[in-house]
Amino acid sequence: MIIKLSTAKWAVVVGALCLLPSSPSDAGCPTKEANKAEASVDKLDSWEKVHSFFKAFGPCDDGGVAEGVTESITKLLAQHPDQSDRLVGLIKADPAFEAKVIEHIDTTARSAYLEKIRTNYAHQCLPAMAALCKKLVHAATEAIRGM
Amino acid sequence: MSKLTYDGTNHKIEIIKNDGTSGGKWTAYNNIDSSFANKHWDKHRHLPNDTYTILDKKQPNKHEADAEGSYGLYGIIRFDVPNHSGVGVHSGRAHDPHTPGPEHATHGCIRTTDAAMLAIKQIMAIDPLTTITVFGNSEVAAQSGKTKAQAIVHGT
Repeated sequence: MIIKLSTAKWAVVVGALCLLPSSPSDAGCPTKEANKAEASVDKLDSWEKVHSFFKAFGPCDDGGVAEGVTESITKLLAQHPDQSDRLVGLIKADPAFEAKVIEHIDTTARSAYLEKIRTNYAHQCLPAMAALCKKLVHAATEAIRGM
Repeated sequence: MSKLTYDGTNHKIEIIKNDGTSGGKWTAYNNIDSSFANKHWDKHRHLPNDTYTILDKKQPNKHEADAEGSYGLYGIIRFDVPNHSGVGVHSGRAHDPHTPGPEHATHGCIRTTDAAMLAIKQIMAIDPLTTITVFGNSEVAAQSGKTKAQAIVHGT
């Protein structure tokens, strides 16, 4: 079946096709955003930065970028339990943030960080985050078990 | 122009130079974390067999150099996987006590050694990469090395 269109209508169709994402392989995370996300992952040294990263680059949280996010999250939990109150505050303001943090405690992480997470949050848990501590310890334990 | 191949059955990555000769072959694995695979990879714990376009053609995309870090000493060489951004080849976790080196899980990437990444980096600087062909990859193949590594660690 031949579809007849006027020249003007073909121009509209072609113009619309040209507006498709430059990286058709992942329209959810276009190449420019993927590059920005990649450049950001080595600098996530606070919970505020991690939270902002998810807000800005959520669809890009895959592949090597996700591995960098895991490194940052598990490092913060392992080496900076003193910042836990800031994590709690962000989760209170944005409950969905908790699931993203927990998701990144997995078998791609550094074993040493996972072991430290278990130690930190099993024995030094702030009362205000008792439920979160259980989830962090459980996620770290399961990750170690899965290695 | 050079190209990479990843053999998922024998767990090897190889660089083929423009003249058709091999620039080297090294141990590599594609062991995707199971919970991440369930949420983001439709439960598949390995890359589909296919030929993918390399995005970082002349040099790896840089990250903080750390043999025990997520990426290793030489960054990541990304390639275009449909519906999955950020996937690439890198090293890292070189001496992790539970699953050291290439067998350490990823979020979709192929993990190899620092020695492999250095050699590939040196070749691609003068002979840019075009594609990576993944073949012989399957659920069984992707997990076989992990099982062996666990057996070695746990003495079974």
